[in-house]
Amino acid sequence: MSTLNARPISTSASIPPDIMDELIAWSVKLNSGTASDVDQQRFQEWRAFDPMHEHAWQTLHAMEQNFTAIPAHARQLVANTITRADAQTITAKPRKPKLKALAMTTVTLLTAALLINQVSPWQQPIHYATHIGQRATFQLADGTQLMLNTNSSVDVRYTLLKREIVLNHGEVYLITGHDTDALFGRRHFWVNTAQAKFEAIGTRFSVYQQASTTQLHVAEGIVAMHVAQQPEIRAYANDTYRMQGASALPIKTESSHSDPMAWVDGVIIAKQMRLEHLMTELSRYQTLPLSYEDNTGNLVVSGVFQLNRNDPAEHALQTLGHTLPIRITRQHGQLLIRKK
Amino acid sequence: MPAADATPQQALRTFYHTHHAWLVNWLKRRLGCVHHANDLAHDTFLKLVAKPSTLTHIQEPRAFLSTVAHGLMVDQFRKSALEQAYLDAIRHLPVSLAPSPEEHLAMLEILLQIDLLFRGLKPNVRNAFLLSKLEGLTYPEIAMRLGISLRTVETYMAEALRHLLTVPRA
Repeated sequence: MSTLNARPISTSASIPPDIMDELIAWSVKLNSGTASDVDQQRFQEWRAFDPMHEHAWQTLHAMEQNFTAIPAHARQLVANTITRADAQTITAKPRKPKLKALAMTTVTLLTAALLINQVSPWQQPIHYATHIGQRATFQLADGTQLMLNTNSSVDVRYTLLKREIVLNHGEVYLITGHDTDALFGRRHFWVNTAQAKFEAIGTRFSVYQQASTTQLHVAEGIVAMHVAQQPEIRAYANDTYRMQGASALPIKTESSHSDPMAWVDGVIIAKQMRLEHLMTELSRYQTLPLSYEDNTGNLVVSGVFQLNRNDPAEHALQTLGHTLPIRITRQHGQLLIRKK
Repeated sequence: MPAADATPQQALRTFYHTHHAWLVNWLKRRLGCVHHANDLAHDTFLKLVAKPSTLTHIQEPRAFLSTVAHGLMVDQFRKSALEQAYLDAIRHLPVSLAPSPEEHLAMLEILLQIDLLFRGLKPNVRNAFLLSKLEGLTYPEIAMRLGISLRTVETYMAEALRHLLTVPRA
């Protein structure tokens, strides 16, 4: 990897030759029109078999978007024009360019950006999801690291000029990549939820989509928050914001009772947290029906709770049983928490 | 070599004064137009301004400059060929469908970028790929259109993919 960083000319160089061969063979087969459902299934298995396979496929997908991002009505024209130009390249005499090359590049990049942003349709998104209790990290084609918390789902939509991640539900942590391979230079990076759009400005941050709220936490850099038609609000390192409903402005909150990024390291860190609040948080990782009696839900707890284990919620509760004045009994398929 | 002691800017200035007239002359002989030669010489030196570190590695200044200038000449030929082909293609469009000046420039830029990706590939390999990705043709349709076998289409597609995945981007 270090040699790649020193010469960021072609990230594709990071695909080993044997994987490149397999990738190309798959691509040709799947596009030939003769691929069966079994082939599709076996390709999905190939992708999942090795992170390097997934990386290779991502790289291919990103490359192909240089073509699929061309507005549909212009594709045939592009293909025809490039083919026709061959005949003229051999005989044509150079003519004086109408504009200086440099000025032309700047102007055209700008207008190309405007045009394509307006007309380019959604690309085929790539879907990532986790089950309850599962967490997973993915390396995207632009170098972005995407980490999904338990029970989460995102769609990754990268187009010619924009990188966009749609958070359907759950929580995502992102370290945005440098996007060195993009055709028109580094693309803007957006995360969309039901409540807001976030534009990352070279950064690390997490977004948590709950039933009707979105929570943003910035670990490093700046994230610009856009809600409805309101002017953007910027969140800086260590800021946490909550957005409720479709148009209410983001509210800065203190995450004093738990560390919003601790799940990235596989733990929950509680600081003077209500027991019921902690267990609600843990229930995201393991479905565990609970009921509280004698006001036990309001007991205050602190500690570090491991997520990298089986039944993390139940284990945390059993541990707390040793230090808190509570008795835990099983009743009708749920756990009852009472005072000792 | 005097450039070793000088700052990069001074080295570049010296380099420019020593070789500029020669390069313009070299280009004029090939292009037959002094204005055009001046433009291209200017662009050639701009490449060095963008990457001044190159200067210290240049052993043969004239060979280096003529190689860069030749590359730019090829770019220019290809650019005007693409522009001409594009103008031909849209000439027959009704006024209502004709692109606006903004769309026109955007299209030219897309054409240049896409075309550049395929540089070094056989035209038919590129055409097979474009028919598949841009016109949505199936492999049998591409075979028919280009008058080649299905097997060849597959070979071409693999070749194009390998090229596009390994071509260095500027």
